[in-house]
Amino acid sequence: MEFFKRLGEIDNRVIYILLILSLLIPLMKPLGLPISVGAHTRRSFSVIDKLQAGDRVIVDISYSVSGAADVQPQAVAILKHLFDKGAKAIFVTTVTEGPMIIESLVKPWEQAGKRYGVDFCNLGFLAGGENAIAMYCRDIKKAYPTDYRGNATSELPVLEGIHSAGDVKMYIFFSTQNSDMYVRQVTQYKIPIIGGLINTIAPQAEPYVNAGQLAGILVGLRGGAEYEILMKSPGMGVASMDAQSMGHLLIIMSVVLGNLSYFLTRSAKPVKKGAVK
Amino acid sequence: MKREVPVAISALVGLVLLIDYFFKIPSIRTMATEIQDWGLIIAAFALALAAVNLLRIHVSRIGKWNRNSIHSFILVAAMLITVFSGIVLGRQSKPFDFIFQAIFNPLASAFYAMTAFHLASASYRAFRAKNAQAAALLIAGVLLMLGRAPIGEAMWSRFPKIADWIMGVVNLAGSRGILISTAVGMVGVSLRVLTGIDRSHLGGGAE
Repeated sequence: MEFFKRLGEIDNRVIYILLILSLLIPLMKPLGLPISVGAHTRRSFSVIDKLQAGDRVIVDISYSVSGAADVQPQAVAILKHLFDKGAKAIFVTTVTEGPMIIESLVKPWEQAGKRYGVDFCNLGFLAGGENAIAMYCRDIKKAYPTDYRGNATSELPVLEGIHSAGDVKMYIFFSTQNSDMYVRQVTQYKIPIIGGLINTIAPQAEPYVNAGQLAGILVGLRGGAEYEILMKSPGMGVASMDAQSMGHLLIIMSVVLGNLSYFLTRSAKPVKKGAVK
Repeated sequence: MKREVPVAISALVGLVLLIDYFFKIPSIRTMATEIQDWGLIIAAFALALAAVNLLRIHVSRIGKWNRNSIHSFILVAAMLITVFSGIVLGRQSKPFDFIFQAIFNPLASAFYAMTAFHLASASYRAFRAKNAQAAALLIAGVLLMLGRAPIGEAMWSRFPKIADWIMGVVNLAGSRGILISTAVGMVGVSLRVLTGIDRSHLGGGAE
């Protein structure tokens, strides 16, 4: 009993050290655990795979840097898919750090020969949240008279003939926020919508997938890893999955041990008079 | 007039946007586009106003120097350096890129990553199956973690299927219920704002 009592009083620093080790060791020495591909990722992949060379897609990169660990691998993998297929990407964002995240995403592609203004463009940040989404979907050149690099959007070849979201083939968003506003503002343009979401937000998007309002979603880091597997191009997502596995295992063990200690020592604790049980 | 004019503006703006969403009338569409464009300008001004306000508060704290003023000084200095590098040197410049990639990016990531430590500690000390509901929540959470992480699949191949069932049936039913009730509530609130019954957005509380 004494052992379980001590177990319940374990120092926080021990838990922190165990967490660091459980995340660090698999990152340095991967375990190579197999990753199966879920239905959501498979569905998103098949929708994007139908794009033809030259098709234009609006890509909303509205995740903050703090959520990048969960969403960035998805964005990297989908961007590779788009560019491999010869599709053109029109980047927009409604978060302040979005334009810089977009620049870092497109940098390797620009170095590989993709031309700014022809194969992709970074329209930059638009304030206003949902109103911003509604506005650029309604009239993209009015919402963005100039792009992030200072060019007039009316002169960008990638935006030629594009007036509203209805003129592009697909809308893809990556967000740390709820998907409600994307569904509300983009579904009226009758184009497929794919959402890249963080783990904690994804459950709220499930009804939209089920109703067909979202053509597909990618869920957290695992969604990115699964997409990399479908692309046959393992990257940061796959590399991080072992660490996530070990982190999850540690949390599960903590829950089990914490409860074991609680239940086994509960009867031994004196109950104060008048205390609420 | 102080109240009636803003209520009339809210009602007019709301009605124009609603009619445009459902009926697609060209003349209304032009009005709705203009209104949304104004919305963007107001949002951008709000952001600029917030930045100026932040600067004003912290400059005043630096003026009344005490041992905590160093934090205000760091904030103001970081803000001015970032604004200078972005506006004067340009957003494509190396200093601006350095600030984002080498300072802001790792700091923001590290700040968020610290929640993992709180989660690990909380999972040990606070996640207790004290009653049936808490036990159900814990079991569902553990099954989801095992189903979503490759290690769970390596232990038992049915863990992902169980996680999919929890997400696709139990979670979906709950989420859908919340979603529909929120939407109905939003329709009610919107109608109250449009008709001027609810004036809480004007800052004086509901009337």
